Amino acid sequence: MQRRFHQSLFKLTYYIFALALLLVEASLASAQLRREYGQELFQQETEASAAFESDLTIDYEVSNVFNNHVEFGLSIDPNTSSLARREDPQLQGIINRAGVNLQGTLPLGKRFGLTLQYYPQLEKYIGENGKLNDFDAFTDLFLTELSFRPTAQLPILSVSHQLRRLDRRDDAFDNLQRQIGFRFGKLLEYNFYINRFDDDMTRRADFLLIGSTMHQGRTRIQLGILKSLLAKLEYSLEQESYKDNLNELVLGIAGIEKGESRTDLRNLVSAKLIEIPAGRILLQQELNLLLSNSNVGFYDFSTIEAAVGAFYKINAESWARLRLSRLGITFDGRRVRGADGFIDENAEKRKDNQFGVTFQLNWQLRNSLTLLADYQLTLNDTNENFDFLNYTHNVASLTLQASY
Amino acid sequence: MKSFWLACAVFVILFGLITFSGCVTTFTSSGQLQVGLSASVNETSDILADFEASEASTVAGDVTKKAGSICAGGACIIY
Repeated sequence: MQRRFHQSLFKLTYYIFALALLLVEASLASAQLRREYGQELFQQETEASAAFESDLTIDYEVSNVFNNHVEFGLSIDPNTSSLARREDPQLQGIINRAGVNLQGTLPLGKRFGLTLQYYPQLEKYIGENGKLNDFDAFTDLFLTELSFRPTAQLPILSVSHQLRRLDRRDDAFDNLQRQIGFRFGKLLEYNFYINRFDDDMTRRADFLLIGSTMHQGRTRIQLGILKSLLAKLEYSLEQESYKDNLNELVLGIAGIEKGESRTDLRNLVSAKLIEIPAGRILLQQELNLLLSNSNVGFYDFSTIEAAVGAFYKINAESWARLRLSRLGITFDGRRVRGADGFIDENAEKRKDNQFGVTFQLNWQLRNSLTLLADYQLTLNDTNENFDFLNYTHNVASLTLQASY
Repeated sequence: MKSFWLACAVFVILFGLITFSGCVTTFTSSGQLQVGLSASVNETSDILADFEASEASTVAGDVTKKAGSICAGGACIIY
């Protein structure tokens, strides 16, 4: 009862804030439209030089993250993890991260450039009487990128190769991800991902613990509507095929035949309207659609997300950002189970609703020292008969960044 | 696959409209293709670059990044 009351109060406050933000944005846009209609539109950025310049940066990063649902996005293997035998699925803890990002660009002739990046990072989990230590990790990222700038007016053409190694204390997570990418500025992009786990023979209880291969294509375009009002459109297509070392539990629940493997096709469309009413303020409205079709019906779903956001630039290196979002998810291949735990013939599709709040504050402490405070709240409501899916997810983090 | 072809058709139509409507197309220094309805003004916007950098890690609307399973009380649930 108390939870329902708090949820209703949260939703009411949320809608009032979102509506107020929308009204402010609409009134500013309308004023701008009256002022600028028929004038020259759109902004053009300064012409870039065609030549690459040598550059070396070293960024240190230390962060502390509080997360009251560590388990989301991480899979717990019932056969290898001591966490699988707990009564309560919720895991609450603090994640400490420390990393060094070394990046250098070397000009190769007049129009070519070579970028090398090495980014090792340590992750330490604290909480649940030391049982979160299973997730302690060391990640290594190595990137090589060859770029070509045909003229100063055209964007960079680049080809890249990235290796990312994840090594957790629980060996079930250990994997190597390889990414090969081709880019033409931000207009066109193609990425090929190969994700392989060290152990790809043991049958796992989750798709997050098995290898996959993914092709991803993306295109973006930016439209100038008024002098400081622009729209961004993005379309992304992904095809991901998974390996088949799954155990009977997943095969049974998802309705996968033995020998059959899962392939997903995801279409993502994003439309954003950005307005800069004053030099320091930026407002954004966005609509995101995701359609995921799988050859395994259990993994078919679609989402629609609407969001409003505001960005305030405090000074050259400091800013604050607020984003309010509402996300609806429909699982086309899943039916809601009844109170008896069984699924009726006429059972409705599973539907989740998420309210999200993100607040970020980036503050420059000294010349090359920055503090980023980040808070994310997600409230999930589901019509599925699982209590743990009606959750409030809080993630709060403090990150200290130093650049040289 | 239908949605893919539909999206391709939308983009072809969009590019066609841009080409034949006389819109001004330019590339920004960050590699974005910009389409305006008339001549551009020379105005840079640092705030836009800062804003884009701040949201670089966001995967808007993609719930697949949070999918997984929960194991407790001797049973596992895929959500």
